[in-house]
Amino acid sequence: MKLGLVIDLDTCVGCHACAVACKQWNSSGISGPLTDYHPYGDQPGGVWLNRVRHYEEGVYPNSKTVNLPLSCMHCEQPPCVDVCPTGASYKRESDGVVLVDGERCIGCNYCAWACPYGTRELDTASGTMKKCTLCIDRIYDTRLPEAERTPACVLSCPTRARHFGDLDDPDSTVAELVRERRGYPLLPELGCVPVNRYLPLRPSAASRPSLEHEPGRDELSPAQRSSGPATGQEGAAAERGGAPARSPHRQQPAQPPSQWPNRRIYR
Amino acid sequence: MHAPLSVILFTVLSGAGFGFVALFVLADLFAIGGPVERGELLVAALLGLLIITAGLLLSTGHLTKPRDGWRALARVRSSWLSREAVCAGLFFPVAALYLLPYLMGGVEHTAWTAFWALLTALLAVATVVTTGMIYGCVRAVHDWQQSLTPVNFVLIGLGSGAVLLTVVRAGAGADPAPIAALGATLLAVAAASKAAWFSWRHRPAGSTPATATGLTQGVVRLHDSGHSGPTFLDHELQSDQIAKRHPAVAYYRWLVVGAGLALPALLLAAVAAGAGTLWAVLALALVGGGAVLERWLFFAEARHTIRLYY
Ligand code: SF4
Ligand code: SF4
Repeated sequence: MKLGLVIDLDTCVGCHACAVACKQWNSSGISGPLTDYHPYGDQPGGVWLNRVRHYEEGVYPNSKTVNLPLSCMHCEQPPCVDVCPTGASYKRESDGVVLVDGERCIGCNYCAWACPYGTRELDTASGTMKKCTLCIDRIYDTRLPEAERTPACVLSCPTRARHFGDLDDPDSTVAELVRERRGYPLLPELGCVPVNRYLPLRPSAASRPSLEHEPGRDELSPAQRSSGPATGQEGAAAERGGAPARSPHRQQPAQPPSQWPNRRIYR
Repeated sequence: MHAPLSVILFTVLSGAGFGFVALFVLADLFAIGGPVERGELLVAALLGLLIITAGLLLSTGHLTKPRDGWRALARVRSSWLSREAVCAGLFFPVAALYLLPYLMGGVEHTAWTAFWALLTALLAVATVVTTGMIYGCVRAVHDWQQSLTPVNFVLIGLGSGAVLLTVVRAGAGADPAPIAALGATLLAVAAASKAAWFSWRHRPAGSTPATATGLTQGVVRLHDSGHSGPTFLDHELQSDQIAKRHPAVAYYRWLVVGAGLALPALLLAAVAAGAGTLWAVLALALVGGGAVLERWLFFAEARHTIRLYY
């Protein structure tokens, strides 16, 4: 099993609900407390296991804001686990979740240095390293209703941008999403083989050719409307019985869309 | 990266201490610059162990649970930090076995004493290699991930150890010239290799904002890192800002290579050619300051991949 998150950058609105829900649940979960430093002072700070960054892609006015939530990627080749001298950081064989054993951690910070994603934070009050546990204390808790046995961030996301599941199982929703939307890992060149995947932006409305006179439009499957360059998607769509990728009715737009020159959807 | 004083002093002191011991063992074994007398051996052993122990104690300074430091011996198979702890831990009993016959009243070297002597020297160098590899293996810090990183740690450790040994040998009335010549060579190579390390830092990094976010349709710019207060990551990993706050930082690099390594190499060369011991003492001061500055830059200038997310 390879449990992980799939995060849709297209639907994420950057509201930080996942980060807050994570903080709330994990403050009292097995990693808790997530200490707050000077909570009522000028410069409150503290331990968070999930943080949302905001990026701008492109140059104004042809730019777009992209929100990027970051938490542990539960890497398949986790450098944090390799470098830990005490064995406090470990990756579970059964489900691939990367965890820290607070009893053994000596707070050397080496794992935080080794993680390229900046997803580990030292709690200076407990003196131990804290990180995303994929809500290990929720997902296996049979006392919870089945629908709630999922990480707090996934439950709380108002736009359903976050998905949780087994990425090893080709039939799982997450694996299917990754296949259809071409989910990708972050910093793949560093060789950590992150499990978490990010789903790219769908083409922006402005860049789509005018579809007003296109009768075939509504027959398109969501995957087709959303996909980037369509190679490889046609086969998948056809297999699932979707409409053919290229509608015979479709005309090439007279003028190529100007706002996002690189973002060609229909060739 | 954050540059805690304890880690800077630890790496400098343990590097110099282990370098000193390794070279001293060779001087003793092969009577480089004359045989080592019992008194000199005691002073040198005490000095070496003192420096090393001080360094190792300092190394626990940045742990939140220094008393649990022994747990760091647990993952020799994967962690360089663990390997360092094990090498340093083995060093002490082995060094004791090397010293024991002397403490019982001087001996001639036999195959058996030579074995422990060489093992002591080997462990000393191995410990410095592991220290270098702790940083050299971190893929997230492009600046450190060079094969020259552990090489520099060893060269600077041996070089500063050689300066100290020159002073000690001269103080004991032996001929400091051969060790000074060795030290001059080591420091000259260290200066060249450190200069190469500095320029190799600028090789292009594979990681960019585009690979960090997967956004490839245009220039990617971080707008907001999503928190308003100070964070652990800012403090620990984003401290290359320290280097940025020091406008003279580019000159510090030349200072390290020039005044910290090349100049002491020249001074030692002068000692080897017959100049007074005072020059070796001056070289010791220079190399000490140079090594501390070098280590500070090593941490303060290092850029971690999380700068792409902050
Ligand atoms: S994202 Fe960081 S903390 Fe999580 S498994 Fe990978 S290296 Fe370790
Ligand atoms: S801080 Fe704790 S978990 Fe991280 S490397 Fe050190 S001992 Fe291991």
